[in-house]
Amino acid sequence: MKRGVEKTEATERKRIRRQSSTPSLPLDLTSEIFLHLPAKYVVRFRCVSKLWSTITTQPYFKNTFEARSNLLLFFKDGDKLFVFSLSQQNPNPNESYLHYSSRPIDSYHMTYPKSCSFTCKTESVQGLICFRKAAKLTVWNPTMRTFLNLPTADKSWRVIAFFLGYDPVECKHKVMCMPSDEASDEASDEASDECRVLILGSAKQSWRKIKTNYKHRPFSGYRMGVHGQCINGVLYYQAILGSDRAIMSFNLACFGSNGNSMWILDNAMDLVKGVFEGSKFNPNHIETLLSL
Amino acid sequence: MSESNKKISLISSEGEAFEVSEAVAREFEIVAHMLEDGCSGSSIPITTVDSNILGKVIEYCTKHVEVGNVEGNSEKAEKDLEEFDKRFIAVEMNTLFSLILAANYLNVKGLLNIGCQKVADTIKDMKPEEVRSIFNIENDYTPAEEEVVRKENEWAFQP
Repeated sequence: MKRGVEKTEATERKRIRRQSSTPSLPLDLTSEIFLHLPAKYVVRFRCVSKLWSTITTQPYFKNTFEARSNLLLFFKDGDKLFVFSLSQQNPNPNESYLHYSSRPIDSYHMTYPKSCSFTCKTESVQGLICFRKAAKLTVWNPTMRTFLNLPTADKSWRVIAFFLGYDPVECKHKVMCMPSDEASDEASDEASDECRVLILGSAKQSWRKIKTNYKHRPFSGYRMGVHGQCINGVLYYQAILGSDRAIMSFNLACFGSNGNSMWILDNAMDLVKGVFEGSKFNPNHIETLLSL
Repeated sequence: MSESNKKISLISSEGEAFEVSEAVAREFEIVAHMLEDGCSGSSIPITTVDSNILGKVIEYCTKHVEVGNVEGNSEKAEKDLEEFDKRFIAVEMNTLFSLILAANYLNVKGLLNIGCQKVADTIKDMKPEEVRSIFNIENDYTPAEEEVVRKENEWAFQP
């Protein structure tokens, strides 16, 4: 008899629990919810379960997450850095919602990192931003609030040009750098057929020495900073080649993170549609040339 | 009868029929695709969604179609819609999860978006234990393992 009562109580408890419990969501919807949270909370929820930790550390999720914001505002006040991350994407293009565009995805402040100089012109690439201070490079992940100081590429290079790119095949950010003396506008001794490539997020964070087929120098153009762009894993940048200006292309996918294989290295660097001459470089030329 | 006045019946999992205009039914992308693929039937079974939730999703879509039809989307109309969304989504977790599941299945992007945002806003300041109970998740960390995860991501645990 007593047993029967216990049993009914247990069933009752079970029933209540089932009633009050929410339907379980498939993993893709759980990820979708994470995409609506500021990074801090997503990271915090890594301690909910091993599965949740796995979801939020997968490269695919991280990339989607970091690419959500397409407008980053930051300023320095004293020794503090204030950061606001906004999305200008409207999830439902049929409706012009005001609050979607005005609500920051994330906002925070942190101690201003001394190793960083925000004065040079640079662009974010798939959620990361690369800065240079003299010949030292720092990669900032504004979502995860981390600053990664990269090792010096080559001690003999006084001034370097750097390009941050994203290889969509390997889902990895890669940095390429070359010597580039901004002071001289002429083809000079600084022209080089060597560059260095570093793959971010790989176990061995070191520069790989790459020999290319073109002796050239990334062109800084009127103190505007070297301009480059990464499209589908290929870097495009302006350079001085001999006495001409050119657009170089550099395929980051040629450098895999496993092993030292450089199977299509000869084709990694190339000239885009030959050499063109122009007095003032316009970044739009890259697109114009590509659409030819 | 003009094309836009055409009625379509959506049948819930309990077999209840909801008669809606084609414009509203097309807000369900899954239905829009069926219609485009030449599915000419006037009743469409939505077998995975019950009457309660289907009724709510239809309410959401009807409101959004109505506002979308008004000439010159005024700021006031947008504000109203925003208010409507806010009230509409202020439901219990149970219902909210069911709405998200339905919005995902029926492919109603706007609803999926506000649903996920609502869950995100609700769980944001909760403790991991509370989140586990909402999502029916067993804690598979040992206390030591959990401590490691906390240590590794210390910045995220600061208020």
